[in-house]
Amino acid sequence: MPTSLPNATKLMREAATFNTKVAAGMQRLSTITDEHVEIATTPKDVILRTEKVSLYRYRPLSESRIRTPVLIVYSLIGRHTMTDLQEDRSLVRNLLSMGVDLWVVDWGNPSRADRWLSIDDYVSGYVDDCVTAMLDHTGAGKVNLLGICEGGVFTLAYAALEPARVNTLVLLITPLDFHADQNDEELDKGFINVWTRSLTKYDVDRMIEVWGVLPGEFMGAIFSMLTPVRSATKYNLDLLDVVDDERKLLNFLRMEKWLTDRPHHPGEAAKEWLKDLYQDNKLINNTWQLGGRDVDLTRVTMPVLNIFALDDHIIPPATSRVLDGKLGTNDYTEMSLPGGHIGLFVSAKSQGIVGNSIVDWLAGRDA
Amino acid sequence: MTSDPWEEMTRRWREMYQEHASLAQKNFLDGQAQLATALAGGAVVDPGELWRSWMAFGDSLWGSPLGGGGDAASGAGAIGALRESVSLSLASGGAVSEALRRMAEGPRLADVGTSQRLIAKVMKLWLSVQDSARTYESVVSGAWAQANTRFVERLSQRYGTGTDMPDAKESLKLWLDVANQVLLETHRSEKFLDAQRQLLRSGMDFMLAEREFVEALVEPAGLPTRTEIDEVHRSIHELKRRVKTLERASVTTSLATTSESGSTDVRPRTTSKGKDP
Repeated sequence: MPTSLPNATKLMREAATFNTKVAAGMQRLSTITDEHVEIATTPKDVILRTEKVSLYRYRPLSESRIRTPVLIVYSLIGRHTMTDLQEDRSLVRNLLSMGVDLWVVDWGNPSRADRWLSIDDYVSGYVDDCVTAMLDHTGAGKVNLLGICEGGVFTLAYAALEPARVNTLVLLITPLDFHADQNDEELDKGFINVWTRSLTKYDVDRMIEVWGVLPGEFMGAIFSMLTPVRSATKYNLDLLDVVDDERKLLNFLRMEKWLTDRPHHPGEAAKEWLKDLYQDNKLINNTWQLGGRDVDLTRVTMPVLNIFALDDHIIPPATSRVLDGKLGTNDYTEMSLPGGHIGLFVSAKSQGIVGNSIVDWLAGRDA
Repeated sequence: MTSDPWEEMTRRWREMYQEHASLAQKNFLDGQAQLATALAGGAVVDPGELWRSWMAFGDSLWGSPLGGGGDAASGAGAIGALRESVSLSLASGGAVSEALRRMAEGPRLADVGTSQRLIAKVMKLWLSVQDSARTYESVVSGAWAQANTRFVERLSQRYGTGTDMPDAKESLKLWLDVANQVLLETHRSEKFLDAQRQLLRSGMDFMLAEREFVEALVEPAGLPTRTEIDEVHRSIHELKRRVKTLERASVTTSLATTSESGSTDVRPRTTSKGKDP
């Protein structure tokens, strides 16, 4: 018969250790200010501002190796600062240190006033403005596009609409076949796909009618349902695990800073994102239109590198590994890497792997 | 009139608020009179209960995004606020719902009872949100109960096989793993998705009715409404699109006239430059 009544002395010792840790942690937390938790610190210059959108060019950190400029296009959900979270966990720094001329577009903070912005306004408008500015400044004939998540869809659409301006396309953790999660169903992956399909188009329209945007806080709540227990215990368990280690605590707080910076998603673009793509899956079916133009994947004739994360619970790998044979190019590379949706960029293990893979691939295709 | 414009403005706003509050109160009292008439034939309603429900509604209204400027983030919070309100449980009489339904959906007369109808509509939808929240919470509670059951089953299995009971840390991990698994299963269940969708729909319907009510209050005072501002933003957006289209057409035209230059890729030039602040 098992006998495992708690030992009182042991319990008291554990409680004392725990209390000491909490006290030390509280003391440490009280001395940390927002300035200690800086993110996205790699130096860059603003090249273009158009409405709320800014285009930045990073200052070089080493001798140029890839001459064709690379534009990072991040999602409207979250912010690009995740690619430069901290000095030793930064895709941006990794790429710069390998001689990439790196640019990034920041979508700013859309508000209800931006309700009517559509995906076409982003793709044919802002992305195109950024590409024009890059060509103006560098004298290059084309650019390399590096799209992340929803930004991957934007860059793929742009490449299909304006192939003459794109030298190569790199997609990172990008959803492409929004229904493929059903073929490879895993309990902890793809809840957003399931949730979106549970709504009707009317539901989506009503949300935007009420809020004008897809509120960042609302998407945050949906994301927290992807990892329900972790979300519920983040501050009372995870934080306690790291609170007495300054380096780990600051890493934790940087991630929190990024997570709390959740811009709203403009309403019309959100409606298209949820209805045309998540519900109707128009992109991979080659029936998607932007501004009256077909987003025809066979017009993507430049080399394409498609990187996805094997443990991605937001964008299941099955929804990303679907482009083979769909594009108008034979130079198509798929690369699966260990890690999750965010871990691919910020985990200690993945540092260097993503950047090296991209630069090695670009080097053979530089214009 | 004071010499301090700020003070003057706040005074005027305060007066305007008080006027609207008085109007809302009057409308409520009128609505009560109508309710009493409507209920005279049979159903019995507790006026105290109705009053509490009205107070709960009033709290949500004045603290809501439409009462405070229509900020989208606050809008997201409003749903949470609805669910969290203890007052939700205070107004659940079926007779009240039925009377409100009749008031909200009854025949519309041109000049009579508009504000009462709007109030009844908002209150009816408020009750609907309450119902949806209850259903949703019962599904979620069921999931936690299921997690508890599974956790105890796991411990019983260990006990039955003679395995030592886990220590505190191991127990916590087991509990978290079990809870995570059950919640993930629940989130994908039809029951949960239906309940969540219904809560979302009820919330949206309520907030749109609330907007309609507030706009009916502020419009006579000459204040802009959310609907009008949305229309203005739409017009500006369409104008911007036209300007961009014209800019591109203009560039294309100039390209055509200088086609000997050899350039084939012409876009509007960049608009501003500077250092990262």
